[in-house]
Formats: sequence, structure tokens, C-alpha cells
Amino acid sequence: MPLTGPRYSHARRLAQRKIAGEIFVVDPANKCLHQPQGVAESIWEWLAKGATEGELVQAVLREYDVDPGTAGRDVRRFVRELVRKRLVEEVPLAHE
Amino acid sequence: MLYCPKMSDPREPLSLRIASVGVRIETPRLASYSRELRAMFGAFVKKPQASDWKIRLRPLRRLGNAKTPSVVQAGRKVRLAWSRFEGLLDWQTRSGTVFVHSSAVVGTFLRAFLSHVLSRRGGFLLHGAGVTSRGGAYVFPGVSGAGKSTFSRQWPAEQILSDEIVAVVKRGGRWTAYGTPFDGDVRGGRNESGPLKGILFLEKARRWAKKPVDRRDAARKLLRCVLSFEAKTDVFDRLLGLVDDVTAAAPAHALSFSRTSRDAARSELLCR
Repeated sequence: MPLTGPRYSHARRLAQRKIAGEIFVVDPANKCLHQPQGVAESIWEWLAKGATEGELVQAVLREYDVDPGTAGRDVRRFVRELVRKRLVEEVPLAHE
Repeated sequence: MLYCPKMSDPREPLSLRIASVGVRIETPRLASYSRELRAMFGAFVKKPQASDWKIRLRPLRRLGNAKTPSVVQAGRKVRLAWSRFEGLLDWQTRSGTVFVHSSAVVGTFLRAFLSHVLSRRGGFLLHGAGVTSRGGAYVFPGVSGAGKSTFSRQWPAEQILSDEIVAVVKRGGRWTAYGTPFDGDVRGGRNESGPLKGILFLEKARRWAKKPVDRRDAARKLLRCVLSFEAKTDVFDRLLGLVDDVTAAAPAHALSFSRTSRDAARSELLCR
């Protein structure tokens, strides 16, 4: 998977906090609580600084014992879910 | 101590103190409201203080469209709205006017108002029952159907803080649970408070039993029961911080209870 492409980061409106080692994410718009766990929690943490799908797949392959095909599919599916729920937003490209 | 300066004079403003938040309610054109509000909130009538919020009630002529109550703060102004009330308050002067459809709506307005004020003063309103026992207070968070009223009926009336909504506030580094006038099926919340000694999640069962709840589960369950009528990030950042703090400070348990078996040792079960 190419490392270029849209760069995603946490939606700015979200409130979040780590409580007893677990991430609590609240969307104030609908008051829904989200708690990414396992690999999803790692991906969520990587998204804090912004990342492309390709960079997330690379990170998953570094940290977890999984084949590239599965990692790519799972990351894509998870990022799409985050986009659909408006929990992440595209980071605008910096103009030089 | 109940403070009733002129209970017979409906023109006298009503000064309430709920979870240490003082509110002076004026009803200049709604004399009958004053009587009804005194009946509803009598246990929470207190001596007025200079720091009290001053809220003037006016009749609402037309119902609004909002299906649920909401609170929106912009700078020092706070707008509270629902189909049956609409108000604008000012944090700087601690005063404002609220248009209400009926006296029965004032309780809902006060819930929205207190949830807003408390979240800025290190506390929150909790959808849950509360009792005092042996010098401490215990709260039982739960949404509708969790068994709060059923559980509260098992408890001596003089120990019930509320069977529906309690306030949990951090003061001087310690968490305190307060009774509120917002009751469910069991009449009358008490204007009492106590140091928070435990958070217990109710489970209907055949026998009384108590088992520890993991702090993460406790925070998750507690958060579902925190009342908030706002939709802003900073409010939820604060509430998450408060939930983090209170679950670290007070032990959390699941409390199985039976509505048929009246366990004489239930007080010991709470405190153990």
C-alpha cells in the first residue's frame, strides 16, 4: 500500500482521555462513547499525530504479527469506519 | 436546617440551595408558581446568600420545537432551551430570565442549569439513586429500569438522598454526594450530603451480594449516567476528567439486590 494518500487525524471536536489505561473518546455532537481496543487502540493513538492508511499499515506490520494483506484490509476497513462516524478528519496538505 | 422566612407570602423570592449551588427564583407575575415551587422544593429552601444565582421566571407563551433540553454557553451568556422553557443567563451577573410553560417544567430547567454549573465547579449530576449510611454516602448510577426506585424503597426514607438524580461534587479535595429534589417514584429527595464512600451498580437478583467492578468498567458505566445537556468538547473533557478522578477515589462494586428479601445486613454490605 502506498504511503501517500489522504492523511487522517482525530476530529478536533472529540473529547478524549485515558482512564485506567483505556482510551475513552466522546463525541459531544451525539454524546456517543467510543473505546477502541487492541489493534484499533494502537491505530487510534497513531492517528493522534496524523497518518495515511499506508503509514498505519506499516505501523501495524511493525508492531503485530500479521500478514500484509490482512493488515491492509483491516486498516482500510477501520479507517473507513472512523471516517463514516466522523471520528477522524482529513488533514489538509501543508502548502510550501 | 429548613429555612422558611415567609412561607405564606407567594411574592417572596424562593431561595434554593441544591448541591451547594444557590438559586434565588423570582416569580413576579406567577404567584401560584411560587406556592407550587415551594411544595416541590421545600426541603431545599435555604437562607439567601449574595452569591446566589438570581433567576426570574416569566410565562412562556408559545411552545418551542426542541425535543430535548439543551444548554449552550457563548462567553458569559448561557442559553437554556427546551420546548417548554427558554432562558438566557449571564455568568458575570449570575442572573437571567427564564420563560417557562408551567411550574412543573422548573424541575427540568433546574436539572439543565445545575448540570451546567456543577460541571464548571468540579461536579456533575448523576442519573442514579443515593443513600447515606454510617457517615458516608453511596451512589447507585443507573438509567431508567436499572432498579433505582425499587432499590430505594428497600431503604429507610431518612437515608435516601434521591431515587433518581444525585449530585456528586469534589470539594476541598474530597468527593461528596448530595441529595436533590429530583425524585423518581419514591417521593422526596433529601437535602443532605455525605462523603462519597462507594459507587454501586445495581443488579436485580434473588440475594444481596456485592462484587468489585474494574475501574474501566466503572468509568464506562458511570459516564453513561452523567447528565449533560451540552454538546461542547471542553465540557466533555471536564466530565471525563471528573469521572477519571471519582472512579480513582471511590471504590466501585456491582450490588445484586432482591426486592423480596429484606436483608437486615444490607448496611454492612455497603460499608464492607
